[in-house]
Amino acid sequence: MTIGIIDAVEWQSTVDMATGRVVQAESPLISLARGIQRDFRYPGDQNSASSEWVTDVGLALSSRYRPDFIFLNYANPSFFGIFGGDGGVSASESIGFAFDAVSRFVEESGYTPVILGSGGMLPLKERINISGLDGLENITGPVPSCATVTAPSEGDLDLLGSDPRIRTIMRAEEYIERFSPCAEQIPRIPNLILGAEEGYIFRGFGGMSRPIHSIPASESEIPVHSEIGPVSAITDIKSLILEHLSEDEKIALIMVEGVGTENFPLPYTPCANTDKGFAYQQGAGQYLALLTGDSIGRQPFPPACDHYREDGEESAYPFSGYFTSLPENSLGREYAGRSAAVGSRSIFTHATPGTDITVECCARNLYNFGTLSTIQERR
Amino acid sequence: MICPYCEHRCELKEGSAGICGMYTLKSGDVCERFPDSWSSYFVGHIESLPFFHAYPGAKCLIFGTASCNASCRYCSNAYIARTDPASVDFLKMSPEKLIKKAKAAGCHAIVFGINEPTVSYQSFRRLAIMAEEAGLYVGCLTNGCMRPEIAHDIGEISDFVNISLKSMSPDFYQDFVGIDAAEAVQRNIRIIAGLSHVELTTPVIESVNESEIKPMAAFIRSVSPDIPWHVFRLLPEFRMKDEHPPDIGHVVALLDEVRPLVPYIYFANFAGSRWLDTCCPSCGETLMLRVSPGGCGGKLTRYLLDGKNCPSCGSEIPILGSHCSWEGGLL
Repeated sequence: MTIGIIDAVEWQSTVDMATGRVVQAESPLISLARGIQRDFRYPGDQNSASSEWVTDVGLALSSRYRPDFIFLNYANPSFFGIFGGDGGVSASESIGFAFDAVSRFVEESGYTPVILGSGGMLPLKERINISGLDGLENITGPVPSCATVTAPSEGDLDLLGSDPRIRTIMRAEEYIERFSPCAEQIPRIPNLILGAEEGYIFRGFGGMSRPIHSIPASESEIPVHSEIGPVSAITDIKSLILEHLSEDEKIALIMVEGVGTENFPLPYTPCANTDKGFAYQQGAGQYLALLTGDSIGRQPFPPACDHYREDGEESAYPFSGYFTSLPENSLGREYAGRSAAVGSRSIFTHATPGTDITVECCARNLYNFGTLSTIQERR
Repeated sequence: MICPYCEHRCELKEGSAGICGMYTLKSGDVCERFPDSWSSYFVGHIESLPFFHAYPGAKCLIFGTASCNASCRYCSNAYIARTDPASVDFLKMSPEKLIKKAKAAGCHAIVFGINEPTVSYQSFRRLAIMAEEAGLYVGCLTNGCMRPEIAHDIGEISDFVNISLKSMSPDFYQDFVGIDAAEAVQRNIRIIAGLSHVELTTPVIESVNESEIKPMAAFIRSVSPDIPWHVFRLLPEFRMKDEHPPDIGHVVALLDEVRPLVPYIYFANFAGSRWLDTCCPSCGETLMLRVSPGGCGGKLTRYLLDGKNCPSCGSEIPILGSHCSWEGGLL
């Protein structure tokens, strides 16, 4: 069972993550999580202090639980780039704050770091309005560079094919042939997957109307600063870390979102962020590639998906967004020693690393609801 | 010409706009500046809006436009409700097309639920009438600050309406909502509740309106004790961003005191709320289970009623419509 502890500021609730129902549960790790959540209140997605929050919680986990492996994600630079930040802090300043916080964690914790940037940000050129299609379009998230279309008409295909802002138009059959998706993914493959050219995002069914300044780039190479040896592909990082953990090294895997090769402030080697010519978007697919080692076809979801179709009463993990299960082959699950994760990228922090304990911001659409921790009671 | 829609009663002149910026006068007629133009539309649970006693489990197409006739200090949708509508990148779409999308997505209902429908009333009305003809249920969320004629019409064209009862105090409405509408809101609740299924929502603001929980409960009971009441822990936003969120234990104690007056009280707007389930007022049996992943309402996870009756004691529970399947149809 995965236990969740929600801290809604001066009030805590303990739940079964699979059902979402309140449970009575006590263990040393649960007490530890509750204490950390009480001690460290999340400042908010658009507050530059949130990078320090990640480091503070990471250091607290390191000293109170002493994990051999810890995963940290700093999402502030991405949020600042997309939505802007409070207090006049610019996106580039937020990158500086994030790396200051990363440095403090590495110096004070003593972990050997593997630090990567998820990719840079691009100015938003335009939103591609696909609401006029005959088929049902669908987009997910605030910066959708991919979209789906259900039951597209021939006219839709002509219209989409003539739009120079659209890079990819892939039918389900083409997708299956190219990526050989796993059995879990196949029912989720839409009739049509669309990918936008650089600088463009889609607008239509499922989209949001928040003002956006810039969008995450889907880059073929991302920067990796690794003190345990070079990595050539994002899906190789998990196995390299497991190898070094087995030699009794203590490793910190650190993801800084919204930072690419052009503005990564540490020495780095470029690392492939692609699978069969398709660059991982910054988000769930990239987190899964990093923490499970699974390429696109082996992940539970295609790059664009009609997640809302699976959101009925029976769907599991109601606090985990569109994840209806937690991956079994994540780095934390496959490592037998102690592991922990902390991050300001909310759901991905508990849904992808599989560590014994996770602590994340409980923010939804930029609204700050407090923090969420999860405990894997598996030992 | 006085704008006929809300209690601001703006004077509209040819080509000019009122407080909400959504209407103008053209050849002597009050017209929308942005007809059939939507800021966004997406699928959501009926419970997320929230409606807890109408078509439980229904899949809704939630849509809206921009702007508002209120100017709440704590607005949680300021990016769309407090912006100049002329700056919004609207999606222009006919009612027929939006209804087609709702049906293609397997929706049971359409709900105007992003901003205030009164500011786009002509478009909402056209859409609502066509949606009903197409077999979809119609709902909306409103601040209730509309003229009585519009309240009456909303009650007639909507199957379910969630009205925000922010306070009983004229001073509160002046100070926090920016419109002198305390009495109008109470009047409109009575009008709409006489014509449609109504649920009410009250944001609780620490040290500001929590003392009004008792008088609000008494008012709701005077309209109907069957009205579901959604009390929100206000997450201060916009101009109240630095304020403290209300103490959950304190609010729960206040709500427990008035539960004998209004049995269907829910407390939400924080992740993990334990006060979202529907229990039988007669025997205490849990009838509908919900979780709060964060945000306003919740998500239905189990429906345990026998039709509309408590399976334990047989009491009838006030619910509009039937239990709906997310995959489509009724259960």
